[in-house]
Amino acid sequence: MIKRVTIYGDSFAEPQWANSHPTWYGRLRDRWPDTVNYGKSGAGPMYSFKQFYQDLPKLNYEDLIVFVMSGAPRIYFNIKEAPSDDIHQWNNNICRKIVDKTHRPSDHFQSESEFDKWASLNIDKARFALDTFRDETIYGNWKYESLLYTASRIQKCKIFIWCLSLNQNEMSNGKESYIKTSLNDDYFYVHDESLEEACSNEYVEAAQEKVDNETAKDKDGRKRKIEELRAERERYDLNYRINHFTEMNHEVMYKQVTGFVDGREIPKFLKNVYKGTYNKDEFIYD
Amino acid sequence: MIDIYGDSFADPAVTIAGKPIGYGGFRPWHERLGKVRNFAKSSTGPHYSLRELYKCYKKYTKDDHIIFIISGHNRIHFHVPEEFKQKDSICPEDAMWDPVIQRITLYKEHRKKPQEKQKWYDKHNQHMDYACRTFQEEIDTLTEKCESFLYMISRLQQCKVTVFLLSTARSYMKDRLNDDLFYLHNYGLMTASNEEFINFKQNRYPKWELRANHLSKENHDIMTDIIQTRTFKPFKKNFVDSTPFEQVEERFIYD
Repeated sequence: MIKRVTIYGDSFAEPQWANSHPTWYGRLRDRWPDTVNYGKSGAGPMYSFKQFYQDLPKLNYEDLIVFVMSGAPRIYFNIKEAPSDDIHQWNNNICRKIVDKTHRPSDHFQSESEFDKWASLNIDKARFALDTFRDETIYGNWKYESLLYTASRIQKCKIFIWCLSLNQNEMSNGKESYIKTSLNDDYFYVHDESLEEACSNEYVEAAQEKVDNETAKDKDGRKRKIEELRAERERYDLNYRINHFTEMNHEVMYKQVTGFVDGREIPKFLKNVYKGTYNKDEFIYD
Repeated sequence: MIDIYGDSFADPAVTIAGKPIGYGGFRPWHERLGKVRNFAKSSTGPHYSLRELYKCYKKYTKDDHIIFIISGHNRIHFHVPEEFKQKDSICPEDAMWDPVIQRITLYKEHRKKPQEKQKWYDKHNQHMDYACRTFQEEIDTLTEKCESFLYMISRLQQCKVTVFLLSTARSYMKDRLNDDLFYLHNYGLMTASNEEFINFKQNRYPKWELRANHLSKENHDIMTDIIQTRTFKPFKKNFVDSTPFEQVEERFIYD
């Protein structure tokens, strides 16, 4: 019987978001009041695992772990210069601006006051750190999920994982899963839809009819066009969604976790349910 | 195919003064297993061995067997910049994080420190320090993650995996998940090596290593047996006279 829930992850789990409707983690807390949420926007697994390593020896059959496995290249740099309250957010800036696809700090980051200060002191050292731990970063998620799996065997706790990306592709950039769904059972579960795709698939295909008329016989062309339009929607969206999801999919996420715990069917994410919110003069195709 | 990863306990090229050591009259365990690819390298830790494993692990199948020695988690394979790469004298693991003084120090060897290594250290020790501070928790948990990843490879690739540790103190799994595919030997190789000496606890550490891969023939036999049967068998203890090894140093040096 589950008594405690611990949540780790990034903005998909961040509890500080504006709370205008029930959230998946809020509903978990309603059911299990002893719920702790360590989700932090912009955080990578390296940040999450700092906490998990401390929690691991105490876990047992009464624990449910919910993990959003975000991008391993989000390095949690050692930052002495930042005030402690800002340390994560600042780190988030650094992560996003100096780490390029090859996991090496870029020479072309934008300057910001706090960031400048950190960079002037640490940029060479940060590069050296990433050169030293390059492979540990690229393959980081595969070791992390392996540890979660062995933890579920040894501690007998239940572990539920959402991945940002499930398959390796140009965009996955260290976020993909090695295990995928191959070892799912009563103790361990990796959801078979990636959060990035689920989030993107929420956008309605409002221009579908238009696309169908233009490219009726070209199946690949139709798919490509819909993806282009969806990407354009995402780019201009003011994105008022809490944790990148509409309320409907927060409900689905809650049911996914509880479905795993209760041994019930685990529902799929809803698609085509969100139109987005846009500034009038910027964009709209439909 | 049998692939071996690890440090000096498996290194096929362990030498002293250019000569293979301890190979008098017997073949070491890693040469008795048939056709193997041996990636083991003295002085290295799981940080280095995992880099080698990452290149191969997705190709393993049910016909393969991985033998992995998880050595010291704090042996970091630090980045060596281009300007120093041609210098053979640099072993990146020689720079080590000292948890007591909380900084990077250069490994103290019996021989004189090569000049290039010292230059590399002088120029980059603050970078190493920063890298260790940034990745501190990741380094501290490298053993746990390494054994878990090896266990996962045995599940997904369906290959055999045999794991030894220098010390089992940091092992998370120990032998709790051993089965037909995965075997973790729950007894440290460093302990086994030390305990070969007669009255080891009283005599403490000898100065020089004269044994192939830190083990005598008797324990090479046992090591081979463990790998082939994948069942627990204790190492032989208390049978090596340490006198020839010169008992003058406080620390036993594992290269």
